[in-house]
Amino acid sequence: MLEINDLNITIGPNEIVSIERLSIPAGRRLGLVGESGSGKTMTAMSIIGLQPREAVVTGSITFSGTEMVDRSERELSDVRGAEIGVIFQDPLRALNPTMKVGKQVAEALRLHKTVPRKDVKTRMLELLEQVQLPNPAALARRYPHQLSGGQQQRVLISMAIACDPKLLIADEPTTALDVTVQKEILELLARLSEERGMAILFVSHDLGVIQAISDYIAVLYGGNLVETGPTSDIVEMPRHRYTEALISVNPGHPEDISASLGEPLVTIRGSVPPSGGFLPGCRFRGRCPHEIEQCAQEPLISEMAGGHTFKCWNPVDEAAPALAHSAELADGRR
Amino acid sequence: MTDEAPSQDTPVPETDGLETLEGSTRRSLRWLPPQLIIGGSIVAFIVGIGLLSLFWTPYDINKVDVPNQFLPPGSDGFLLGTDKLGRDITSQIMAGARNSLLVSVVSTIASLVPGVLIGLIAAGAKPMQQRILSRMTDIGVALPGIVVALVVATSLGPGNTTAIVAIMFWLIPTVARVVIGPARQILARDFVEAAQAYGRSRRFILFRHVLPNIGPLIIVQASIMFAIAILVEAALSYLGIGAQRPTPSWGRLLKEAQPLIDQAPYLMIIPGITIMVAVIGFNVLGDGLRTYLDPQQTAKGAGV
Repeated sequence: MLEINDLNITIGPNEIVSIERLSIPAGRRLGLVGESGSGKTMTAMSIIGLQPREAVVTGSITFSGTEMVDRSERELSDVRGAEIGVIFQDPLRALNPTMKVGKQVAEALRLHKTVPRKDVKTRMLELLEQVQLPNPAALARRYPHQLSGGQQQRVLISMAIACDPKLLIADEPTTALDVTVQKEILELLARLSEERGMAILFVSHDLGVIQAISDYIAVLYGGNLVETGPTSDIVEMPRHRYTEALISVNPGHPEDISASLGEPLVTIRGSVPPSGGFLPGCRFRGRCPHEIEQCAQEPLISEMAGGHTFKCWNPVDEAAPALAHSAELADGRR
Repeated sequence: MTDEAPSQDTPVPETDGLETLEGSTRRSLRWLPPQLIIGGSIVAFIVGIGLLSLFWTPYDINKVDVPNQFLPPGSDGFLLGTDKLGRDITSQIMAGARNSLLVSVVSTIASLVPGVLIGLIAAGAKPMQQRILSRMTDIGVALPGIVVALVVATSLGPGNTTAIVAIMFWLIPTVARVVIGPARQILARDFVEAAQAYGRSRRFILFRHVLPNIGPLIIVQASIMFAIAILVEAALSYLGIGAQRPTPSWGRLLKEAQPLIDQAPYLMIIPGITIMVAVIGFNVLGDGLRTYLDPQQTAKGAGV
């Protein structure tokens, strides 16, 4: 349903994002994972033409068969909200502080959908109920700052789904929330996506969160799509060295905190260079513990069964389970 | 990640759950900044006597009563005295309030609407257009008000209309300039991007999202514009290009008192003090509103 081909986003001389191919089938959930500055938000926002003014987007993004790149602001407005919904990282900042939440949801409803005026309020309350907000009538009369973080995010979700979009872009929607609320929001998003057949593009730096919600995972590093495939393949059998490193830095026992307290935290050595500061060839070069000579050349896309692709000259062995490598990989152990 | 704090997602109690909200609203209503009370009282008093003069003044404001000329303030039956033709000063001050308020209300509203509009459009415009509009407002602000008023007076003739048009020339660019900055700040906030992501048009965002967020600023600005308008109206009437007889006006009282300053100084002092009190009243009210509407502003920073 969403197809990205040869997408390039540049700001000035620097290439921020370069993605050869990425797609989301209708009704499925894709997790876009990467570090800060890896271009994941930029990629997601460019789908609806909301990249920064100075960014230049080339290539092709087709949504339900129509090309999104280079469409006029007016045409984009018709798609935004109506066919593609968006939720943001910080729900409080994404809500207008001077408007009661009920009114904001009602406006989202009225914008693209021809809901009869008298039904708007009922529909608004239904929406608030669908995102599992208790006592919607009382809540609708409140201002955003009077709600908890989780409630704010639910309100935002209800606005995003108000017009029954086919795709929901979720830009780090749980990052600003604490862990228990995070889980509830993830469950809500998964449920809504299933009930409505709504695809989700889930952007996060947190592989654990991505893994919990996504059918597919796409790993971005330095604006390059380094690996993509079905969630279980990626998590159990990563091939790219960066994905492998990402998995190894996730603390081991999320259910049992005490078990991991004594263990040192694993990190990936170094940090992402600023845009324009990448070495030629593979962008992970310089931080990768498995670097070989060939890595100075642009890596090619290797394809495996089940749509699993990666771009690495010296990939993880197909048979080797990921975590076995973590000790040797983790250069930054303290 | 391993925060053990309980979920923030507290359920809303079935009993409407607005206790806390009501509590905080009540508290903020009870605490009124002193400037708001003082300024509000002065303004209310002036509005009161202005309205009262529509129905009743101690004497007809233009009634000539030569035997009673130059009565000093406090004379029997003439609280603030009489002028050279024996006309009652109290009545003229009361009726003058009416005229001052009329000119101020009309010119403030007539300046606010286009000023805010220009400011919003400039803030939402593309960088180049924004620069052009900003510089144009700068030029507008730089125009000398009195000279503009004189030019307007030559084409329209003296009178309230001239005063209103001249005040508009002065205030529209000021308002636009005051609006641009904060409006741009609001436009940079996340909920504006969110609104864009929901497919909102630029115009919708400017009027539904930006305007309410700069509302308090505009209200405060309006009260200050009021004070300016009163001052300018008085100045123009004093120069003879504002209200003419028989229209009552504070500035005109000043003008008529000028040749008699040695003989009857109170004729100048009384309207002078009236204008001063009115201007201070609106300024203090503006300060009070600023403190009241912006909880982040400390009362310390408020000066007249």
